[in-house]
Amino acid sequence: MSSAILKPLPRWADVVLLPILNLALAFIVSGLVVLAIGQDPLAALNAIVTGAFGNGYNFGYTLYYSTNFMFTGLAVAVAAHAGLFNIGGNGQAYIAGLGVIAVALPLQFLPWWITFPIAIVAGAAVGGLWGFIPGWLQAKRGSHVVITTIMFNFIAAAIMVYMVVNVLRPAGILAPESAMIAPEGRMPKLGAFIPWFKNTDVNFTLVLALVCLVGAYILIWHTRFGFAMRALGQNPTATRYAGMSNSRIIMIVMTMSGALAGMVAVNQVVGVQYRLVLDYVADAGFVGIAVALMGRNHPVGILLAAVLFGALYQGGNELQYVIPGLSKEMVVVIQALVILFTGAMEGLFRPGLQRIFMTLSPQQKAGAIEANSVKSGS
Amino acid sequence: MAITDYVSVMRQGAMVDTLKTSETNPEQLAELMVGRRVLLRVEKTAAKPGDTFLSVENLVVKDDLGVTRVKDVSFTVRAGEIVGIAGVAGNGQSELLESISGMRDQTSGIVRLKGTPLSLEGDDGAHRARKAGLAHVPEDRQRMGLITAFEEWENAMLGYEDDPAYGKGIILDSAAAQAEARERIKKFDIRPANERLKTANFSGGNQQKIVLAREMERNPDVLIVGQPTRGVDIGAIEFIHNQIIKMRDAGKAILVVSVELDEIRSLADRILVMFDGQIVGEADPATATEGELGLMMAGVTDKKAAAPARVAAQGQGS
Repeated sequence: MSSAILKPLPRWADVVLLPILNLALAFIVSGLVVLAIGQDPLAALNAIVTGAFGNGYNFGYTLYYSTNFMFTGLAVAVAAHAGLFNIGGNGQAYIAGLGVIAVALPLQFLPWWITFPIAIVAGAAVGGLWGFIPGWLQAKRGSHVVITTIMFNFIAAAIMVYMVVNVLRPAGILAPESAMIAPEGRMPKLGAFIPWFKNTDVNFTLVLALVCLVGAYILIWHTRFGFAMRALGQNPTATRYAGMSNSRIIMIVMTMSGALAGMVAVNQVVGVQYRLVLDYVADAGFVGIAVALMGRNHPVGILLAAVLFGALYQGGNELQYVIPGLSKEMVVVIQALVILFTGAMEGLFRPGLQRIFMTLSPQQKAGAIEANSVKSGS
Repeated sequence: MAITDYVSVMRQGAMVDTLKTSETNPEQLAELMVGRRVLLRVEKTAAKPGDTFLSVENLVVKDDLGVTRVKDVSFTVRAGEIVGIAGVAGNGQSELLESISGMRDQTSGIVRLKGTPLSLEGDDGAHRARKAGLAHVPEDRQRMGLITAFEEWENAMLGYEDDPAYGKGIILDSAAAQAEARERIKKFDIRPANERLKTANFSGGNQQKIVLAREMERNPDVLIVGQPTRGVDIGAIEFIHNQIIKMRDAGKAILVVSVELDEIRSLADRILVMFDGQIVGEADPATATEGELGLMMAGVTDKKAAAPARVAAQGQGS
């Protein structure tokens, strides 16, 4: 009953203050875990922050990881706005590598700025196909995308092993990988433009990720289709009433979602590895779910959350060198706690904050007292 | 009537009376079922019906469970008249409305708008119906007619979002849509007058006005309205009734479905009674009594009047 009289938080508190508090709590609990295994939490925090942001080299790697998470976070968010839970980001990002390598190898002697857009289209097409099929199954057959996209992750993994080992592997090479792309066809690293980044893996694909963030914002809130997909996400009966064709929206959104996840392949294949290897996605698809959750499916939130998770990845890599007692797995614990407190238990502080805000604002307090007395009077 | 000793009548969740079957009659039960309430008077002139705008021919519709809910229904609505469909809730009215408006696939039958058959199949049937000039105010505004989590202006264009007035190409010009929403808020006196407010925060009557404004301002040839004033305050009821009559007087064909018999009687120029998925009778609201309509709503028609007696005779025989 007492929760009924609480007023909603001001927007800034909801969007800024609440996530910061949740994040702080996640780090405090992580600190306790570090303490429990006999290490200094402040030294660990220092190692992670320095490892992620300390110099151009470290920050470059943070941004490289972030690039992947921006794509997969957007993939999850775009689907989520239409009420679809795309768990298949991993598979879509993985199989898109086939499309990218299929155009990157034949075009490898052309300048990168010709290869790049073609690789984007090819990656988007194959990743999009891997999103479209579950979308089609949901729209026409009623198979739930959560189930089908999970299964499509495994199918993608199996196909990739077959393709890399049996089809793409050049004769005489034992490692499971495709031929190398010639230097001309490789994406320039950001270090080539900004020397501060040195020779880190962050490359021109980061710009593509930022363009995708802006594009997604425009798509979701400033296009007719964005209106339709948000409507479907909120009320599928109303979209049927409006005649928007729910099945069409589902198929288009899942295709777009898969295409966005497929951009990870562009980053990895022509930006970092210069060949197709196995398991290059490294679960970025699943991290994307956390990124979208924490970023509240908003491109700005996804940008910030992607950088946070990129920093945790990169900082975690450094952590194990700085403090030998803490392994890379410690970072997995921190990530899990961040997801727990910013995602699953996102509303933990809300009632308390609402009470504090009410005590601070006399106008709201008066309103609440009035509501309360009416309640007790009736 | 044939097999019971006592009859209890339930209305609006309460047991209103219990009678001995031998001491009562269908007319009395019908009156109890419908209830006597103050008839809302609606000021209107006699209808001047013109050409047939909406014609429904041999419509058969199944519900989500595959049960046939509309059984071979045919009727017409002419320009400049309000046709009301009366009936106890759950006799196929909802499925009928959903089918005509393109929300639900029909099993067979034809819906014609000004003589042209509407293609309503597929999940975008409602879109084609709108394009053809058929507007629909749904029975359940919160579940169908509105997206309550959206801002008011977004709901003010729901179903018409591809209108060129809302921007060029794929881009949605929210400023244009909001300007139009503000105009309608003024015209329909929607309160609070704030197009950026979340729709869930409007009262039932104002939510209904948002839907009505959206569907009426498109100037459709045919307007179908389900439960025009359910959960709406008295002031808004009068406004909504007057708007519907204004549209009729402008020469539009209007189909109203309501479980409120008073509303049907005061609003309609012609009443069709629906029972068990069929139109069982037609009545003139000027002459039909509540009792007559109530009987038809319970499935008792002149033609069928002999049926219960026959059942009774069989019952005694065995």
